[in-house]
Amino acid sequence: MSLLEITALPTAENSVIHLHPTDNIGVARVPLSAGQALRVAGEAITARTDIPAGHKVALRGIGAGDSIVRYGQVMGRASAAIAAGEHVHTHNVAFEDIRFEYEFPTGEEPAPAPAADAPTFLGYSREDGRAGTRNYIAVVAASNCAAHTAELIAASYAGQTLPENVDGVVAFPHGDGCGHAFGPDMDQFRRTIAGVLDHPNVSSAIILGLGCEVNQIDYYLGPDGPRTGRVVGMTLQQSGGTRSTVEAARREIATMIDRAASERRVETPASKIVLGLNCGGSDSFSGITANPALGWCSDRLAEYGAAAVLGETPENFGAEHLLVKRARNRAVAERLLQLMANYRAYLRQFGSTFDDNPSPGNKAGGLTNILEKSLGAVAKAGASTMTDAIDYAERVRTPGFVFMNTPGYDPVSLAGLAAGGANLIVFTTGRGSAIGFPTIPVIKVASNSATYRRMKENIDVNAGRIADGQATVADVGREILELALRAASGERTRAELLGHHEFVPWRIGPVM
Amino acid sequence: MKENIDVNAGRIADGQATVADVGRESLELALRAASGERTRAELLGHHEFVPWRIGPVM
Repeated sequence: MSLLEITALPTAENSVIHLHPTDNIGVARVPLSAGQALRVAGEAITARTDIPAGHKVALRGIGAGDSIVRYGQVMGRASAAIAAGEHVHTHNVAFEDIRFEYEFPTGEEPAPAPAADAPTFLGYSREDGRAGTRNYIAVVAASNCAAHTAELIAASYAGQTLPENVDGVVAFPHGDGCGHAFGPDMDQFRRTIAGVLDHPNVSSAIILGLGCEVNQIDYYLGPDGPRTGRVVGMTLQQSGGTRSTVEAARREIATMIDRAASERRVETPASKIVLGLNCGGSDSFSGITANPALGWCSDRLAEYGAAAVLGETPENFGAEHLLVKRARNRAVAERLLQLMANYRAYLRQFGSTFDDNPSPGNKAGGLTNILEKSLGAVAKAGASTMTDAIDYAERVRTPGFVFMNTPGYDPVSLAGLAAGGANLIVFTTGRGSAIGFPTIPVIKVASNSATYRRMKENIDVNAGRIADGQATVADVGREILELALRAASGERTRAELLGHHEFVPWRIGPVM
Repeated sequence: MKENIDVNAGRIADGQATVADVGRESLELALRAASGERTRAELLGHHEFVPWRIGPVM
């Protein structure tokens, strides 16, 4: 099946996308056949082989060792001489760990005054000043040993009609919480669990342990715990096992539902939105359609004084010089580079490098290496100033574009963004994705129309219309923004309607 | 946690059974379970599955 099913007849002029005047490759908008005549930037070339949609074609002869340029940026070197019209991909592009010259900011970029015409949404106002886009009761497993019981508790409300403004009782089962090493691994894990317990989309929560796990529930309780008075702890060992714990939890939840039912959506400024940005199952179109459209939306939110949080550290590798330039000040730029250096060291412990990243699906979609993937991925964050660079699951504290250190692995990245306080997530996908989160609306944006049509039931917005010539980046960006505001006010996304609730924390230490 | 547990080896410490007694009880239950008798974990629907990731998360 071809990636794009274009109804309009492709012509020599519109079959290849030339992204930047200095690019020596073009991107096939439609599948190209060997011998097909093409005209790109005024030059006539002939496709030498069949080239799948989304894949790259050389626009001129490229000598062995010469740079391959996409988006006006170097993404690798030719490992052999490449003739005009040839397919450019993993077979003739060498990955290169490029050393960048960084242009550090010299002063302090002041925060812009929030736009006077900023829109509002209907959200839940929380004691700590943050706003919820949902009103859930969360049952969070302290360890895998409590995961099934957490699921049973949530499942016991299936089919039960809850008050109108209680979105549900949701479980956070996961595989971690015990067998952890103390130190950075345990600290980060606790930060993640605390972040989902005190999340603004959660009215009240239960932290549920087995009783003997490394991740003791006491940490989350008491006067210094997150959301004192809204988090209750219990363990299977104290409550008498699986079934007794379900009953005990239901007694606590009865009170929690009453409290949640008394909470109301109120008109809330858009500045209270903390938008998590993620991409998954990327293809070559992601960086041309869905990610720039999401970037348009991120820039508008930054103007409104809201935050847009870019994660996926491995997918920023090769584009960090572009982010350094956009940092609010030198300290923020240095923090970003430190987080990337830490990630590199983390991978080195296991003998891995950043270029292990593009998955087989990414490559089939035309992405050759991590540099190319990153250059397309950072487009999600638009062009706004980077106001902060924070570690995994740390609280987002500044408006505007914020970088968070997360893996590229989607559910793990989403867990970090969520724990940091994202109350809305927009997720772009080329190959197709079904992911959601237990307490946060996840809006899915397809990069191409074929994927949109194939997985319509999972996808909210079709950015493929940009490549089809039926919409501009701004058109789709506006569509994402409008849907984001509606979803923030309560409209259910496809992932929510399907009940998606993936939750995978990032274990950085060994399993003991 | 009776509802989760099939055998009480605590009876050895209580002086009510020997190691061999509880060993035999466990063996007999193991053979009955192998023949189809449901364990407590099965009756409660427990189905934990966590593979061991030894590499980094990319």
